Amino acid sequence: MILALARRTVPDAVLLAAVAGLVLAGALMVRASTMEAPGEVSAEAWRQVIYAATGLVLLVGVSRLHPGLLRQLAPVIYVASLLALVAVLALGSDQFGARRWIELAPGVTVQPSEFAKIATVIAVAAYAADRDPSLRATLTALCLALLPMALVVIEPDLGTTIVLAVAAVALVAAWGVSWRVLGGMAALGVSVLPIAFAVAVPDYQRERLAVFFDPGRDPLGSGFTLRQVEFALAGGGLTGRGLDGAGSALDGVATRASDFAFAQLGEQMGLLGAGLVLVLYAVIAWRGLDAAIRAPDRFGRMLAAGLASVIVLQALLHVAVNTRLFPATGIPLPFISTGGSALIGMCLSAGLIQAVAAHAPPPTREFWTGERWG
Amino acid sequence: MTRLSVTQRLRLMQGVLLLLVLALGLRVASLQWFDPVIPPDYGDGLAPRLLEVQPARGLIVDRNGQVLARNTPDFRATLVPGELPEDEDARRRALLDLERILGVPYAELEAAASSRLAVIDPFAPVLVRDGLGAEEAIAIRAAAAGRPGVRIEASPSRVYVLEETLAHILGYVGAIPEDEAEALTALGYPLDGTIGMTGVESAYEDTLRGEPGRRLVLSDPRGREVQPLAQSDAEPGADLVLSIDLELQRAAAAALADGMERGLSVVRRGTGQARPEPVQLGAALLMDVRTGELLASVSLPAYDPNLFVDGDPDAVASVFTDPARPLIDRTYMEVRSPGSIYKPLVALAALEEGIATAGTRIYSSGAITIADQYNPGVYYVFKDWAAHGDLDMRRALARSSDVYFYYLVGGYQDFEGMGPDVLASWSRQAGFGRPTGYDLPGEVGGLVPDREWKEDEFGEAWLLGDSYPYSIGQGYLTVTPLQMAVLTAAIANGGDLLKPRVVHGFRNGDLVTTLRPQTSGHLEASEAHYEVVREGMLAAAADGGTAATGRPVGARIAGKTGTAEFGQPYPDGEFDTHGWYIGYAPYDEPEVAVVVYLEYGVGATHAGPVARAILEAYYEQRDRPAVPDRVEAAR
Repeated sequence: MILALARRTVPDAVLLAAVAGLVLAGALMVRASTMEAPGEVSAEAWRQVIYAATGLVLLVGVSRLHPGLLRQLAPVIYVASLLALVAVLALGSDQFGARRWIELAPGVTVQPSEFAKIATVIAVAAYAADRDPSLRATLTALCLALLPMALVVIEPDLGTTIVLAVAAVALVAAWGVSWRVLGGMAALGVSVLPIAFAVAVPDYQRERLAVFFDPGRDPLGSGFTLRQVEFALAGGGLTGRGLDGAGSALDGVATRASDFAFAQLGEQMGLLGAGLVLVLYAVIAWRGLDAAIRAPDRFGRMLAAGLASVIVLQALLHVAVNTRLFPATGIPLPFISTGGSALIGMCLSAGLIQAVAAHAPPPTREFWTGERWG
Repeated sequence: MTRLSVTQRLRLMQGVLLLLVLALGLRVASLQWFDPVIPPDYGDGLAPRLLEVQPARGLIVDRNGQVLARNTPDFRATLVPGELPEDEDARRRALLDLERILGVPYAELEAAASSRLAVIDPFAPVLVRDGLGAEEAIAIRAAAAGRPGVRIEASPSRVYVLEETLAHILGYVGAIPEDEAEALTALGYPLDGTIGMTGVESAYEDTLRGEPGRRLVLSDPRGREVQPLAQSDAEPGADLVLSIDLELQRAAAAALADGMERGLSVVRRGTGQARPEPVQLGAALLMDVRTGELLASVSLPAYDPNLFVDGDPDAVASVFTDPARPLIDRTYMEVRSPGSIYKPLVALAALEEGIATAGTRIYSSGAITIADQYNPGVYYVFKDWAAHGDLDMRRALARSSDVYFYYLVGGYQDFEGMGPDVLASWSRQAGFGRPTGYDLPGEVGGLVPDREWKEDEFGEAWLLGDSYPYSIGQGYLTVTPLQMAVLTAAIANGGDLLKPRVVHGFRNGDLVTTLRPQTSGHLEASEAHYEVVREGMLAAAADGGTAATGRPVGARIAGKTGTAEFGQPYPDGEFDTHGWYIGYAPYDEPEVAVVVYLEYGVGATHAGPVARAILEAYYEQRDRPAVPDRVEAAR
């Protein structure tokens, strides 16, 4: 019945269910990891619930948008997001040694880089919509992505930069760029990486990279976190330690519910919970790219493919960091980590995928016509 | 790469994303369950601990399913020092109570409670009493109810069938040896665990043991289990189905014991010499000539298979100090001169090398005489055990003429022998001088001498006087009864040198996986020549042959006796002898090979009747209803 209701609300009820499942898991995780006394719901948990509700409402609203409108507004959206990124550098508030947030009202901060991801995808998709992927067009599209990346890396926010970079690659791949150009880009990327590392990677990130390869280097700092992350996952075992706020290996890790949300969730809900979360991301990859495949035009196709890739690749990067496969960078887990901008941004992305799905032509029945006319 | 349509491209992206999710899922599963990183301390004091769950060890059964080794739910009492009262007086009272309940002296309890282990981990249980029966355990548990610091728990222990001669084959299960502890704990053995020692318990340890399970639990700083986190069940070990037939084994053991008793009569007393006290030993084997499976394998003296499980120190000490060294399995761990049972191989070699034909006739006057190679005028006499007269090869085997075989190897007058190197080569091809590939540990290979070996070993040239004893299975040559069984089976089956086995297969539930026969080589010789050797052995086991004592009434078998001199000569130049018998049956469609060895005895007189009793038991067993069909499967 709920599914039937959802089906009337949004074009792709399965996708909505996956998002809702992740949001619920996130809210439970945040509640348990910020619980001070048994049964208590912390202010942070309440905020997460409010963000989640807002995000889901926005998701349903955005799903009614016509992708064509978005395509017309693309330049405005793109420029606005660039301005916001500049503003955060100029006016933003510093937290944890980085300048990523703008304070709109007392206690209400926005993280523009979370929305820059969506804006960039929309811009590249709109640019590519009526162009064939020539080398020149491809390079122009990549420049569209490089601009926000440059602004974000200055903040510094290496995690979001990496997500933007992989999103750009996913976009040009969905565009239909020839394998030769893709290969050339890959080669260029690999050759530029050391230079980028030397120029753009902040010191703290270099230190984290060093710790990644040698956790004993900083046993009480980020090395401690990496080790505790492993302990947390081990402690979760198969069924988890429960959601009643019992002690955690991540006690004392400030970003336990954001950058290490997956490990936190794995500890609380065990391999079963963590595995279910991964399955839900797989559902998003499946439904998102299905929407892209059935999209009526190239804009819709690239929009859906780009946004689905952003969500899933960001999740995968987060999990890779949390399982010590990737050096620690602050990448929030989509729909789950604390942080209003991230949660709402991700819900908007899912809503836009829904909008693309809504305008897909009904499934063709080739076998039917074949039987009739063939 | 060919150009993909846009749809195909997006499908590819979809697939890549799903694969990445799957890959990370596996990584998460590894960190959370399969290979978790366990912290020394969990922050709030609670720490996950990984505990091994030991699997039930597989049973050992004979080929008909008779249980030879099983597990009993033994019980043991352990003391948990950390749970005892901390107050000095209360603690003493508690221990005095436990002394009364457990029947363990106070001093021992006190020592256990303050052992070094207790200091490191006060909640690690310390064993204070082992081997409690069920009733005793229940009584103690009732009496100790509510008292802190004592636990009664099950400790499965191994019980073996009461058949001494199975001790060598079964082996036993013992505590993990200290020098291997590290390697074994890495394999998931608990430090206080057990492992198969010797016999099939050791050789098939991996099969019997099964796969340990694991439990991940949350425990508090004192080591108490607070909450189970996850569990994977232990996979019990497979049962081991031996090729041994318990009834045949018992029949063979009884027959061998009887033969050993009679064989001692060769020892002469009252000669006035200082001679070592004779220690009678014996071995008997019954092997399937088609598969290499041993239906019976007896080495005497033996010991109770439960000896090392019960661990009665006096009994163990007496086994170790017994001059007969019962721990040695005489069927394959010790070598002896074979004597005349070697002659079938010598005959086959001579036929193949063209030294002689089946019709080659040699006259045995009872001895040959040769001049010393360096001192003219000095003569050596090599005797036959009787003056047999004119012999062809079949008759030479049937009568076991020594002179005939002296000719074949050493030559005599104008008859050219094959020489020691050719015989050595044939011996090696027949599997001598190396282990047979038996599935039990500790097999020895014996010695195949040749010119080069003697040169290296003694710095002396090989003499004609070395070749003559060699030709009748004496001198430097040594073999194991098991090697003789393999040769006998090869003569019966046309040359396949089967790897002997005591294990028929593995049993999981009702499904038996049978091991395939394996060979270690092939003794290449023409069928016609094999036929001559077989006919010689048939004649030997027929009336008028030396090996007739091994033939069951009414049966047709091939046989050969051996009587090998050894040790210190008596004043009249005679020696004590080993008694041997080899044979296979039925003659026309061979099924089993039999080998009997007596440390003291005469082949025909003492070893032969043992072989006959074993074959009779086999025939009787064979005519019983067959074992239910079993599933055959390759390993």
